[in-house]
Amino acid sequence: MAEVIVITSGKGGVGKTTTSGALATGLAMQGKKTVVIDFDVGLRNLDLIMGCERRVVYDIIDVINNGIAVNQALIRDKTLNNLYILAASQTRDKDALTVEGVGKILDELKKNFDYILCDSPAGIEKGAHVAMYYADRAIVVTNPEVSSVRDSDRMIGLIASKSLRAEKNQEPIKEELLITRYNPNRVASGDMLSIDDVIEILSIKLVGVIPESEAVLKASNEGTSVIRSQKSDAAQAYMDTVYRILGDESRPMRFVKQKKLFDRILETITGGE
Amino acid sequence: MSFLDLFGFSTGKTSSEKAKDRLRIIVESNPRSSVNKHMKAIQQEIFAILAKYLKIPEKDFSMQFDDDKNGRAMIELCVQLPEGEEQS
Repeated sequence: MAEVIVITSGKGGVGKTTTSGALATGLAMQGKKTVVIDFDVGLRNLDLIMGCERRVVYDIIDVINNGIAVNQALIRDKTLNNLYILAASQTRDKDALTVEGVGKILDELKKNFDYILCDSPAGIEKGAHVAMYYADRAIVVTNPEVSSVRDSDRMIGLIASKSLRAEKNQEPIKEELLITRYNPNRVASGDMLSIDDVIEILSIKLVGVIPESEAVLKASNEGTSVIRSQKSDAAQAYMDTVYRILGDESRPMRFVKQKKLFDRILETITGGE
Repeated sequence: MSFLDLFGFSTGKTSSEKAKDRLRIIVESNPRSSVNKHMKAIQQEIFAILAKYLKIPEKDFSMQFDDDKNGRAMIELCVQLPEGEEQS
């Protein structure tokens, strides 16, 4: 049975698209047939992050409004043949996205896919609402920083009350926290909120912690998901998160402790590789 | 570490502690509606009360939990009265 996961946050720029691409790629690497959908109509990014920006022929609005079949719009990843991307429209405005239209697309995709990831736009307007409406699970991406935490708190409340599951009185969406851009050194020096601080304020289950990493920018420059840079800390942390999503909940959090001085010097010399 | 810290003068809370205090206040003064936790129970119990006096199938009864324009949680009830039932 397909699981629909929304990657959302409220706050912009915290790592939703990076996370959507990484988790989708990671799930596909674990053998799951996965599709990742960009809901940011008008400002699409997922195609760039996944490196398929020149292969977008049809987008989600073409499927909803223009009679294009979902399968025609799906873009297959160049190296993983069980990973697909559905791009957002770059030219239409957000009103073109409808709850009913998305519902039909998801019904179709559920027949063939194990995991359907929905990359939500920032904000709490229609795009974000449509992206979360049909979700079974929500991953709330949060930076350890005041604006992001407050926005995530608001989003958590909306997810609980404005979804199809809430309206139909079903089991609520499973909400989980993903902390991104975590810097244990700054936490140790008292500059940054710790994991425990964020969990205490938001009171939802932690699914992963992704360290601040130079690998993220490099990956987006190159158009391959950061999870493919297998040696990097961010890649490994994302892979850990994928395992937890697949059921291995006892996997410990890595990259959350302050590095010893020697390791930090070594890292500066070697450039983080 | 500030200059004063080096000389053992405590400068009070760290910036992350101040952030946490501020966030705690924000979250406490704007609770995610506690209505959410009880939505299902509220809906079932209100329906049971209405059903005592009105013959309505469950599908003609709906409750919406929403925020009004001031952000306050609101419950909106909608009951379709069966034909023949007059409002007195």
